[in-house]
Amino acid sequence: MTLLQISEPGRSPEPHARRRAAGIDLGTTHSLVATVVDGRPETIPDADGRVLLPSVVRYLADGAPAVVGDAARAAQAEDPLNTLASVKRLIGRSIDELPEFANRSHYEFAAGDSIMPKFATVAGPISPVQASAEILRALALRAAGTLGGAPEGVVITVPAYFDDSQRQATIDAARIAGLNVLRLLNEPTAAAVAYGLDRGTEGVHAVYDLGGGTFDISILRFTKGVFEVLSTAGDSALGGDDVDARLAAWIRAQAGLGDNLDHGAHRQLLVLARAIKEGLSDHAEMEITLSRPSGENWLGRITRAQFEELIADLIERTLAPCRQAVKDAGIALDELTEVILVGGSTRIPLVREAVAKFFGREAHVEIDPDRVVALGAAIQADILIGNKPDSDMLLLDVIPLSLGIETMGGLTEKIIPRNTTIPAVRAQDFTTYKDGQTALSLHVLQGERELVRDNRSLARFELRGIPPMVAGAARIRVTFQVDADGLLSVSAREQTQGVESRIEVKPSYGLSDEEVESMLTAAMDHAHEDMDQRRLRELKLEANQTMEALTAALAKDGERLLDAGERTDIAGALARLHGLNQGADETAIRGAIDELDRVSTVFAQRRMDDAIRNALSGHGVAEFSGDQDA
Amino acid sequence: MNTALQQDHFALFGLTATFDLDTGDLYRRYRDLQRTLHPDRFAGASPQERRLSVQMAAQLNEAYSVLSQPLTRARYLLECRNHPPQSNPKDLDIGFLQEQILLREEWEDVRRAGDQTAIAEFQLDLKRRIEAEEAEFSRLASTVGGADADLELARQAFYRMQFYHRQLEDCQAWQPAAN
Repeated sequence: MTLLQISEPGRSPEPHARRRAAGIDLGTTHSLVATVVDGRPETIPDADGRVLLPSVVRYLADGAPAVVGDAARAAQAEDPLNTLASVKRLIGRSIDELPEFANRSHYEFAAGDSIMPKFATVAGPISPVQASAEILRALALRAAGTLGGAPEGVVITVPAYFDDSQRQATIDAARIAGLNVLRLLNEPTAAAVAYGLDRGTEGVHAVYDLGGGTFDISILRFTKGVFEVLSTAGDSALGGDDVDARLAAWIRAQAGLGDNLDHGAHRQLLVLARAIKEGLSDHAEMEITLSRPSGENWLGRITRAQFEELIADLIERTLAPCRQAVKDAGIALDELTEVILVGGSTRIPLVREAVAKFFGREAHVEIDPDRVVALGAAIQADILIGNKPDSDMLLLDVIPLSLGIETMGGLTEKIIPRNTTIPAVRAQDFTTYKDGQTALSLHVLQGERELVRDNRSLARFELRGIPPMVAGAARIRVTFQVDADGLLSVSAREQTQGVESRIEVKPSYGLSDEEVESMLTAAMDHAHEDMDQRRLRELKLEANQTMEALTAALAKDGERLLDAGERTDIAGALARLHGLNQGADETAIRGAIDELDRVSTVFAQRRMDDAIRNALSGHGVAEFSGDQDA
Repeated sequence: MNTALQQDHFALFGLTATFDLDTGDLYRRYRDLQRTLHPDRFAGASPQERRLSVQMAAQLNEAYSVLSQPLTRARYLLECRNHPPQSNPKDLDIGFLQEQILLREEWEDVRRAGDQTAIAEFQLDLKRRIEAEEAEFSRLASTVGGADADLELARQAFYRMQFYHRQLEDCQAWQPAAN
């Protein structure tokens, strides 16, 4: 089956009308947006020709719009508390998890109700999710110029090693920015897609991705348009920022600056360290000029060898995940076809040496390691939006960290192990441990450790109304489902009586729906619109998308897979929804969407079965039993 | 309910249940089905088809992971034929229990001596044992309608296969530390 071509109901389909899609690399230190032009992915520059947008947001007083990018980065030292950098390191996390944020006073944090940290700025408390939304908004605006309108859908990349909370928080940021997320794509996979398209080398590849704040290693197989991730490992708090911090600390000690630098001086030092680091990639030695608070200049110098000694252990830390990923992929090092370098930090010569030594070969850097992820995301976005219906590209990714549940004694029982291909579904049965126990408390966890307290807590929920039985008699089936974005949903059900409780897991360190809603209200683009209007607009959009998709499906398969009565039912429900969607009655529109969903269930299933039959038709002895009475 | 969602793992691939599977053919079927069912193919579809696609692609992944490995395939066949392997089998053959102890001791000795050739030889031996049990399992339980007695023997073969696999995993997990 090919991708559906979709047109507005009532309008004639324009088969060659391209839809506006973009790929976004939301990075720790900088971000990019790319789109496919004439079949080739291209990163989109700003008016001054700059492709990299520094991931820095400066908040201003009196309701003035936030400044994003180079201008914000330039203001870091002058206005450190209102200028937020590297927020990706905090997205979906609590402050306690990152000592650098808790102990070093880069910022001041506001007291808040949620566990999510908020920066105290002149524009009020700002969460990392909101700051990320500003960056996404700036990129979408840039893309709109090239695309001739706001993107209709985007693919946003995330580190492969991001956990459920971090992924959920990224989706929240996109929602606040008003973007339609087609898919969250893992950064190393995106890079592999860009390389696959460019070079087409089949085989098993390792993608080593060291960015500003995160490290990923993915091993994947590429054959006949299929990118199959075999394993992934990493460290979601290791990157160029740590290198800068090391160098900054060294300069501070050499220059005899005390530990009590103010926010501005500290940020200035980090900016200087970054420049020296970049210089040392091309030069064996760099001179350092630092203006001290007293006004006089300190002059120093550092050799590449000294620098490498400072950061050797950081680079060494990337090798344990490499070892793990190779082992988990079940391959030997000499079975690898290519090693690909991604992320700005792979420009550091020591990184290249370490990678070459570990993998026993030189790595590929033909595509700019800063841009390659955005390019891959653009390719995927172009396909998902429906611009390449004949594409046979398929991405099979994995979850980076095991998902499980707390059992007696504070232990974690894994339900879906790491490196399981997604989407994934797996069920496990649990039982009661007391006679007459009528409720079961479920604690959902992510991580590899045995003890609950060493893993990340994703959610807690309760299954109530279990009929009283002797201990061990109840059969409670807990089902974990992970979608193609790597997001988990969990349901639990008592088997004997069918009592069901179902939740969608929300991260403990994330935002509540109310918080997201209030941020939506606060977002600049929608200041003129109240929440009710926005909800209605989104509902109407959902109704339109549902009608478009179904209309297209009917045109293609309606005659073949449905009888006259079934077609009449669906047409009736479609007409009702179409009519109600002209009005403003939310309840009625929602009801009509649900009704259309209900009457078209059988059609969706038959289309799916039909697609399966087609897929298997070329495989001989197809003893496919999924027959139907259509 | 969707028809395909109710199917067993083999039927999903259009295959009859058997232990003797051409894994290359299985992979090609998996790939072509995933090209059809994967959520990436339904990005513009109705919410209902998107949900269905996630469920089916997930089931396909699960089925493929079970069927592509002989050990999990054997377990699945035993489950389908009402002889599910127990987590702590009580009825193990005494000879097999003794063999387990001997193999563990042998591994300890080989490991301590640290002779790479002996370590490799030990692992090769385990792989040969696994292959032999797979052949035994295939003979006993490859086709539908096997006798209960045969299925019971097949289950015993599964237990041995499982033990050799775990022992092999132990060996492989230990190896990197030696380098």
